Amino acid sequence: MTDRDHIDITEDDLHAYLDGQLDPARRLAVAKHLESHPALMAEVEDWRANDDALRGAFAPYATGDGVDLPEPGPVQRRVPAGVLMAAGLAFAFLLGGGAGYLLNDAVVTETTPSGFSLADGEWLAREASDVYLTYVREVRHPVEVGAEEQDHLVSWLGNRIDKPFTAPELEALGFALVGGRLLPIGGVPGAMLMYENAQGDRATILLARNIGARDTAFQFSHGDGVNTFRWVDGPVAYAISGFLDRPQLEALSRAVYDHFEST
Amino acid sequence: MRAELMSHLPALRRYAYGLTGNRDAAEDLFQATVARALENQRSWRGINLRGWLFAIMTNLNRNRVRDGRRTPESVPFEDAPGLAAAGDGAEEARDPLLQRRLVAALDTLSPDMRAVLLLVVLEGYSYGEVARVLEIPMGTVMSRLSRARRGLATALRQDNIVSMTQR
Repeated sequence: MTDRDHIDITEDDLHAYLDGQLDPARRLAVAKHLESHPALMAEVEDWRANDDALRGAFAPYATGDGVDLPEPGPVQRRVPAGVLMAAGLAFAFLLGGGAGYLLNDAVVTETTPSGFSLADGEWLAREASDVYLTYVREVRHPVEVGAEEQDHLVSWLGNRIDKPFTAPELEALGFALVGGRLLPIGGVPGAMLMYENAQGDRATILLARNIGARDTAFQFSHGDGVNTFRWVDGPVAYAISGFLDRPQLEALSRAVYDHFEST
Repeated sequence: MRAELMSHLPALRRYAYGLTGNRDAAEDLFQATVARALENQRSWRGINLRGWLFAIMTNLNRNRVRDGRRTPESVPFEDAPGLAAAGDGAEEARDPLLQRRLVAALDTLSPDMRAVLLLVVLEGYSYGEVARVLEIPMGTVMSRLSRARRGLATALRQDNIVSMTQR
């Protein structure tokens, strides 16, 4: 760096050279300087290799998968907290009997099915999508009870929603049970089961006590990037949600439907 | 703003992984940043959304580190939470050992140095943009970048594998 011919090449120049932030004349001067200083050249090349390694190592995480933003409707704009957090809090407070303590009416309205037609089960698709978005990115605590306690999980959830059930086996489709949690759905207890495949894609099954919908066949809906299949069968309404494409989600839904039909 | 925000999320998540080197912390930081941005969207003045988002994440991360939620020196290297253990579907294509080494080397940098290095190297920011986003003088950007690159190289060398170029 103290070579008389290139006395003005600075440390900053070396970095700007690497980062492509020099004008052409300066870049040429730095290149010449490096050619006559092999040790310095080796150092710069070492930095370049480390930079490349960093870019390579973190590139796979530059994904928008599994991310979605809440609809910026007039109701949610009045919600002060971050919406992802708010959704989790809303559930937590409802579970704890604290609804209305922290939450204003707007939030409560948002999490109850009023405003949707009960008859067509539209509310359920909305709930299912919200639940999915709330928990799909949860890394540590997506579920309250893990799959390793499956018997306990389903009997506990079954008791809470007045519908004994077993968890569908979806291994044939590549999905394994992660666990489940209890949620208020339409103001009554509901159960969420989360599944995950080897790629880390998650799907949720929601079982809700039917609050007035007619029996329906499969209905598909799409919102906020989440695909949902739902159906109503007597006292229970079901919804399967995921960032999966429609055929994949439909295959899952059929398997889930068959499971619940036969049990 | 919503559509534009969505378009920045992938890079924002990559930056979170770079800052934390750990999946749980990265996803927490990422979600907190998005939530903070949505909360404060009225205070966004409509210019350079990308810079604003990265500034929020940098600040939240600084708080996270200051509050002791990152204590790399207390974690033995072999047990350091690496991205390889993250299981985001991404690691199959990666060399988990290399990722762990890089994360361990990044952990030797101060959060401020690390942020500058990642903004320049991972996110391709110009030095001027980094100065604006982090609200620091250009000279500080350059000195942090220099110390970060040298620190990273030293840490990787001490890792007994002389240089990434020899891989």
